[in-house]
Amino acid sequence: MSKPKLAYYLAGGCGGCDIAVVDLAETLVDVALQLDIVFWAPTVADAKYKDLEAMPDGSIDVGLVSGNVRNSEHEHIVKVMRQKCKVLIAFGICAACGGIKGLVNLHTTEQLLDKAYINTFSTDNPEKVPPQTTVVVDGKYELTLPTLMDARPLDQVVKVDYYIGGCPPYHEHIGKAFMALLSGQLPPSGSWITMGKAVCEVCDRNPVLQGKSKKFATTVKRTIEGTPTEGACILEEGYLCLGPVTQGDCGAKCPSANVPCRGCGGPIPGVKDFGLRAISAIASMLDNEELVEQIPDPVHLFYRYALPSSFLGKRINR
Amino acid sequence: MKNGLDRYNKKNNPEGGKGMKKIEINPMTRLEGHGKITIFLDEQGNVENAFMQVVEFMGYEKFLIGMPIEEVPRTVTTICGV
Amino acid sequence: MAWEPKIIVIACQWCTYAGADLAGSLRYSYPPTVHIVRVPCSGRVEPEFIAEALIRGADGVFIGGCHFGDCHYKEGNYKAIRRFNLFKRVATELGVEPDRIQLEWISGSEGKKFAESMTDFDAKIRELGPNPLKGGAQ
Repeated sequence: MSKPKLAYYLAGGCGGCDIAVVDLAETLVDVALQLDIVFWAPTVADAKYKDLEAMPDGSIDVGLVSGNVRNSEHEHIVKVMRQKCKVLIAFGICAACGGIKGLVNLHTTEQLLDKAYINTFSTDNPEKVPPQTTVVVDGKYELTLPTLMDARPLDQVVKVDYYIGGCPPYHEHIGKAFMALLSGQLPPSGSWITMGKAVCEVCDRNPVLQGKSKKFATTVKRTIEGTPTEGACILEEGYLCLGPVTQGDCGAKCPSANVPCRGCGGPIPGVKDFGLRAISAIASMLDNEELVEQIPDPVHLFYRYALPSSFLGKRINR
Repeated sequence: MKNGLDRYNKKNNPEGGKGMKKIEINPMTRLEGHGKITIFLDEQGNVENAFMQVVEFMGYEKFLIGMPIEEVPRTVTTICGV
Repeated sequence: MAWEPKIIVIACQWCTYAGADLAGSLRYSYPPTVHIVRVPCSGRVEPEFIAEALIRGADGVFIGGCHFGDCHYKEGNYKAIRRFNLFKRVATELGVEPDRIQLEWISGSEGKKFAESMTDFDAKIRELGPNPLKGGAQ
């Protein structure tokens, strides 16, 4: 019996999810022996896009795509992946919800290119030339670049079968997901592969798990303004941890390191817009109305990972 | 003074590309980031010129503005996850 | 046909909805562009409801609840105003016109105030014009 085929494409992401798969270490040896990895570009294998395009439709059993869709080349290859793969998984929070790189939707492409290539004191660009989609050098060499667009999560471009959240997904969770894939024990198509528990449910600092009741936060603090008390809930102390609305497949790693959760695991089941649900949860955990005004920079906080998948999707009249 | 950018200037290239034979290596592999190499061949099939382009653009310079400074280290590690 | 605004009012059943009923009994009229949705408490209102209403074409969203101290569930209206204020702050930064969403406390005996608030809000929305967000941000 032939081994199931796996393909992996990194679109507009950072490669961290690719390395998270490699981080499986010993588990990867067991998993890799059972799979036939036919394409992994551009991070790990030396496969080219035309190799993927040459494969027959539906010939790849599992396709993983990480990173959001940001330019026309990503859009094209992601559509090719959908054609060639039977099961397509949005791997990592960028593919599932847009990710940190989705914050580019707060600005227009012109503003982003202007800041990167023209209007910075350390940039030497006297003719103020931004990148062009076509350029001809010396009159005969024609070069092209893909067109930039707004960042979109994977499911706004092609149909997605499963979602795995995390920035990057925790390696034990990936191991469990791969085992579920290989044994065929998957939830219905279109759902997230997750334990279904929020970060608070798996966090050691949760007062409810220690037999106490939750209290409202009486101050709002930035993480530089103090250290959370050992064993106490970070949100109660005012550090705006997004644990209540985030999936806890990571095992609450950040709170156990004294760092408030920022929501990289994706929304808990049943939530359509992560940022808005986080606003609802945090606002109701504050003790009075003035504290709401003291939250610094709420857009970058609540929408850090999920702006493209939100109702608005981007900033309007930018 | 001749500026290095003049060779790319549209004013100096009124006729555009003449459809030269080219080989495209896309993507560059075993790294993080998307890059493309385009090799132009002359009539004899020898390499006349080669160009490397970075095919992606992120935009962190702009959207980090306004973020509290203590959140920036956790954010910019996603420029390259490798 | 000239544009008529579509205003969604999310009213808590103990106070604002009762106030709306009273406005009817006392024959205070308010514009027919108002569509009232009843919830058990203003604390039930999630920012997702407001955002989804705006995306689906509502020109204005109005939340009505009990005055502080009158909430049937004690603290629901406090949570409602905290959520609403934070949502309005974020939505304004994302480009939503802040005047399209409003929160007011209207009790069960304030039928006249309900009618007046509806009339004022309708006039404000007519001034702002149709919602550009219908169908998602362009």
